Amino acid sequence: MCDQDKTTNRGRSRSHPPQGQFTERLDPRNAARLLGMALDDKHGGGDDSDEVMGELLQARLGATWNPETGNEPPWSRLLRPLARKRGPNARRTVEGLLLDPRTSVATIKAIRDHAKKRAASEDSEREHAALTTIYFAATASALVFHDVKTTTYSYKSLGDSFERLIRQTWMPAKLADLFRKAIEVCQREA
Amino acid sequence: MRGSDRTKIGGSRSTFLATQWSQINAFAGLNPDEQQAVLADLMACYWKPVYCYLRRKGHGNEEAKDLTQGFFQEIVMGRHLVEQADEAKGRFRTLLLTALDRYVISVHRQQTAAKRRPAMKVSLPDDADDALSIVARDMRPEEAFTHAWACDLLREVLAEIQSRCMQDDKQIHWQLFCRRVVEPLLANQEAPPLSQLCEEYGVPTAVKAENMIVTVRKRFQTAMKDRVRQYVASEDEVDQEIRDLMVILSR
Repeated sequence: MCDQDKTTNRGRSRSHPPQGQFTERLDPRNAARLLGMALDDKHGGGDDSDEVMGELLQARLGATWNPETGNEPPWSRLLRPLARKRGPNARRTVEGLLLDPRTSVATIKAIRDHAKKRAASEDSEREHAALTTIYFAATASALVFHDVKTTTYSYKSLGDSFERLIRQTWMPAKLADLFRKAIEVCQREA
Repeated sequence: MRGSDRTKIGGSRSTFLATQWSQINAFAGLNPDEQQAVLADLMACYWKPVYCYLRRKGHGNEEAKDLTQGFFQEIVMGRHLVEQADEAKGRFRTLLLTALDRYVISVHRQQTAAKRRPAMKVSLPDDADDALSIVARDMRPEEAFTHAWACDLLREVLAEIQSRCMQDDKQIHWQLFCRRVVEPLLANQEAPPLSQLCEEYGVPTAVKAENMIVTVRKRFQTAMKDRVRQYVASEDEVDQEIRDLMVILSR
């Protein structure tokens, strides 16, 4: 159907309607999969992709942390020279803060709360997973670097959650290390 | 097989603005020309599942064509289908298949199909290759009917969203959707990685590309449900009908 569209013009030529041998090429099981897209509105376009999930999480972790809003607005780049003077967390990324032992518990809690709030209102399954990961990363950071449990979850439950997250193929190595250290704390305290 | 099997019965395919039910119910009040047009429209939409079913039942090409025409004229438009249906409860697809079965039995009881030339000649569409590909598959008649039905549904929905993407200057959205979702299913292959598609289409990140695909996918969902809504009796049945089609196709 779309064979004609593989152009050298960065794919910008008009593709043709689904015609011709469509049925011949579409076997019943694949037709069922295509139909299934009409029912599931949470996943993305193709198959489940670790590539997308990993990139999405990296994008959220790489976002500059804004102590007031939680996110950096697009125009804030213009204010960066000023922001440098504002405090120790100015222009630091979420990931940088969570992996730094010097980050205060208050900042970690603010990141955790922001991720929790955003995750609760997020329709996209992947976005929800990325924000939930940040929530647990903040929890792990407080445990590992401050020995503070910032949640009502039990140590056992937290340890299980960290285990599950480590098993995700899209998990960045640095976060996986943080979760491993947090599991040790959980096992010690449980 | 292909050459002798090809058929040019049928008219041009058009989009239904009303539900199938209202079209059928209004049929009796139309003049002959209007009736002919409505019949051609209905046949254009549904001839393939009917024809495929008949072929998989063992009827030859000509016999299946005659039976298909006779079914639409005598049963669908001859009010028998409406009489059999409880519009408030029935699904058009199920009703059509049940009525078709009864029709074939009645024809065989009375006379051979060759003698039952329909009075109102309406030709079927000439894109018969698709139908023949289903006829050639090793599947039960009911599965052939459903497969043809689902493929027509999918083709129409994809054509619709493609057209809308072009209108809205979302060509790249459509291309990404095709390459990442539709083509891999048609070719039975793995989808290309998003990073590759980003490079080909000049999309800055995989997340952006994914979001563009999701945009088209949401259009697909809306368009599909709009189509299915036309032939089920209530809103509650839309998702169930899609699930039923999936179950039959996945057997």
